[in-house]
Amino acid sequence: MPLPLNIDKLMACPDCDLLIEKVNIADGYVSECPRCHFILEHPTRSSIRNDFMCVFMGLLVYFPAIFLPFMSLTMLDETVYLSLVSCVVSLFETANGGLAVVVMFTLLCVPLLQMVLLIFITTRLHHKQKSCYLALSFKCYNLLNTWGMLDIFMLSIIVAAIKLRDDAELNAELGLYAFILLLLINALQMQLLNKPLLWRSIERHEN
Amino acid sequence: MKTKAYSALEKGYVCCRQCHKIAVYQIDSDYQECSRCQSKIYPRIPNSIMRSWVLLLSGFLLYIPANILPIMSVNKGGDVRIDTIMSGIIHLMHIDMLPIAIIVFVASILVPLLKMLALAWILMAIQLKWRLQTHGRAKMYHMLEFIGRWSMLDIFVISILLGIVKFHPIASVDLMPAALLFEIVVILTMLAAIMLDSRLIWQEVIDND
Repeated sequence: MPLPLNIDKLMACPDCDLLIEKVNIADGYVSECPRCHFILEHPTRSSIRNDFMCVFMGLLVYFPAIFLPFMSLTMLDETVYLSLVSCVVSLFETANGGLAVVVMFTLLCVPLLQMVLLIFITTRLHHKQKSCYLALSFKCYNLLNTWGMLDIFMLSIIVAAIKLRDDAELNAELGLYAFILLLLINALQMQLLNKPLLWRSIERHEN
Repeated sequence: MKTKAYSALEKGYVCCRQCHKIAVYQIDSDYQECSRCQSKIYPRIPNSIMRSWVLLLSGFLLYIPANILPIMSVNKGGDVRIDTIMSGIIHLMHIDMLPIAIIVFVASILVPLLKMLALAWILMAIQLKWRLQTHGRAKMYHMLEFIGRWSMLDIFVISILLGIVKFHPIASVDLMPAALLFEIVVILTMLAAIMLDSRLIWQEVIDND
């Protein structure tokens, strides 16, 4: 079988560098690398509009999720409300700047930055406006992907709550529900995002 | 039918690490620019293995003091408890919170340790050109990229406790050096995994069916 050496018909698996012939896959099917089974594309996650809706919802719940208290504690007739921002602030106040910066970055900055970048990209693509920052924005989005840690914070809320249940009376507050929503929307957004499709659209818009 | 598999590089193509666009490899230059996203394309991340080893080893060196030094001290009305990561877990077990103790043990002791061992194994396999179980190593690499973040659990739990206890009339929590060290370990090992170019794992595998 002769190898097709037309570069337009070729692709390489980003994960193992296997040279593959490009295939168009039908709706509902997934293409994966024949060698390392890296998922190349999910054609069902195809709509840029869905990405936009998802991020928009995410931005709506983001601010309640970080500013509203997620937990209240009653100790010795005194009630304390705790929010994500107040956790970071108390880390700064107790001179644990190193920890505070990382907690702030992974919990507050990364989700917000990712959503803002994605809003920028999807609206530009939707309105077919040209911008030289599209590729740069999407690169930044992908770089930040590893560093978002909302899901881990959820588990740590549970661990902290169980540790504290003997010392104080705990109550879930509105912020917790907003946070869970943000977490779910964030996960959905990552699932829906079709990176190859977005890169192709960006390429079309730049030229 | 058995066909031979080629890596893109062997056939003279390079794939952009950022946007996965394929381009013709220009042998005479160190790197070239991707026509789609303007990133620098290297055929493989330069010094990937060396950088990964350095980050991994410094992570491992810090992992030792992070486990020996105390991570926080809790003062409950004059009764002071100084905990290391392990003694905190044992304390959790003694007060009948075994499931939580297991979660914390897995996230803060087992995961970083296994992650460092697995990464060292993958790096050694690349350097010594082992050709067996490449699939297993590739799977392991993805797993450790995924689970590495979970070690931050303890850091977040501590920051929640700190946020609460600030308002408590008689109790206080102070963070000790191990908290910062531990956080640095997590970040270093995450960077080590990112630095390792996954395509190197497959470099020695040429035949495939």
